[in-house]
Amino acid sequence: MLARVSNIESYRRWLHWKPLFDGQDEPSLDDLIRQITTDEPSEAMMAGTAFHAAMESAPEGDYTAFEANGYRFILPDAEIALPEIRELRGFKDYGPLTVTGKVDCLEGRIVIDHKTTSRVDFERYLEGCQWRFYLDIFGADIFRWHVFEIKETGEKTYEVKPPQTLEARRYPELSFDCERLADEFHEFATRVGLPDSRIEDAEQEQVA
Amino acid sequence: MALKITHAADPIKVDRLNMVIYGPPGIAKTSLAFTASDPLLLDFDNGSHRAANRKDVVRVEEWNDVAGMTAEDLAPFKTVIVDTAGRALDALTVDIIRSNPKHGRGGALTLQGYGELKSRFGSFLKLLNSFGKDVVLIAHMDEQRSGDDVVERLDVQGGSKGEIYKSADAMGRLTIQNGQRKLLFSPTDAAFGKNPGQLPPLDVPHFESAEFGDFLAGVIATTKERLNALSEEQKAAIAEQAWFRDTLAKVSTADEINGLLGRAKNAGQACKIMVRDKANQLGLTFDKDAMVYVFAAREAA
Repeated sequence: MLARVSNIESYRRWLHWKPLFDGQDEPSLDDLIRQITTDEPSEAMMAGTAFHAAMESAPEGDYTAFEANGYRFILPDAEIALPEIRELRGFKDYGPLTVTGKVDCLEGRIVIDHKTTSRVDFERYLEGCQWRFYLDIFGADIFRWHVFEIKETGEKTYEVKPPQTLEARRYPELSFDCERLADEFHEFATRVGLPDSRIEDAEQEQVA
Repeated sequence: MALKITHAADPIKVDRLNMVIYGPPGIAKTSLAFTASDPLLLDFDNGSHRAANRKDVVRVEEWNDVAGMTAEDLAPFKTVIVDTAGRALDALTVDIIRSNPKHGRGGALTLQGYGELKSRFGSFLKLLNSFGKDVVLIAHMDEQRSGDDVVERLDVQGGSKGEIYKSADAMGRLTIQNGQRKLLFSPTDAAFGKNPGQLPPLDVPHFESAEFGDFLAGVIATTKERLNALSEEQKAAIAEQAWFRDTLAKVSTADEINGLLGRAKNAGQACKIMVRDKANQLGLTFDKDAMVYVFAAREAA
């Protein structure tokens, strides 16, 4: 069975759910399944995808704005170092479950991830499983988030604040924690009949 | 305004680090911190007198007491302890609101005020680091209930907590298990941690034992050693990835791809993936019996 890291993270958040704001309803099992199996991005997700698309192809240089997928991002005064290896998809088998994820950038043993958000919450990133799986899948030691706070200032137009950088590190029990969560997710997915994740742009061929 | 995108820089030698130690009140975090190498404690919490092994202390009444510290002031010390980071941020908050009332509302910071807090706290740590000092940030722990789970978090006011997570090269929590004090750096489902030293759970020696005297100094030294080893591994991994990136750009046949498999095998996961992606681009698939890439049509036949 194939699962995306993001699906496992959705499952983990559902399992240990806590409200992001007062009065937020707890998602049901149906909500989780819908989230994992359907492709219904919110406006914030589409803006994030557009920002990623712009960052993905940006060579060295100075940019006052990015435009991608019909979105415009007004950029801040800031400097950010990005490696040339970008958008790399990896796979790793955890028993019967193959887990896959695509990193935004990779340099040596550092995985770099760009996040856009309307409100920075580092604890949410640190407690997540995304960084753990990415370090495990890519054999890396450091997971570095560049977090861009964005604010909508017009139709499909966002003002971007300078990126904040947060790092998480490999630790001795990391692979074991990933195996445990992958097992848990596989058991859950089998029980509720989740289908395989769809990977549109990658093959599973591995170099032996 | 412009966002400048540059090349990543080479890793540098780690000769100082920022370590966060957090734990519940009364577990002797300050005493532990005093076992760092040549420490100076900035006592924002007025609790240093309780430490069994008290050393040099600056009693901090307000942010200005520390804002003007110079390299000369800190010359005799190797480690600066901020006790606690939460109180230090509180003191900085008061200073920000006092110097610019527009940055506060009802005693709390406005968005602009938070911006200044982040900037000034980050600058303060960088200043200490620029003097060549290790910094130990002490924080209280808060236990929060999340459904049936209890999660351990830093007990620091709202948004400023992020500054501590960002600045921490290593983060450990002090706890008691079966009567033994433990220092744990690995994160769990319920607790944060950063363990670049790849340290196992550490038993904190008894206060009166000889090993306690320089316990944290040893932990910091081990963590730095590992960080520097990682820097070397990082340099090697970057060089290997660059070699594969350049070489793969010139590859156009299955034979050329297969000629790289031996090197890719020992080159790390990223290089293997780069080879796989290039093979896919060329319309090749991996023949698991022959352990080589072949044209998809040939494998199908």
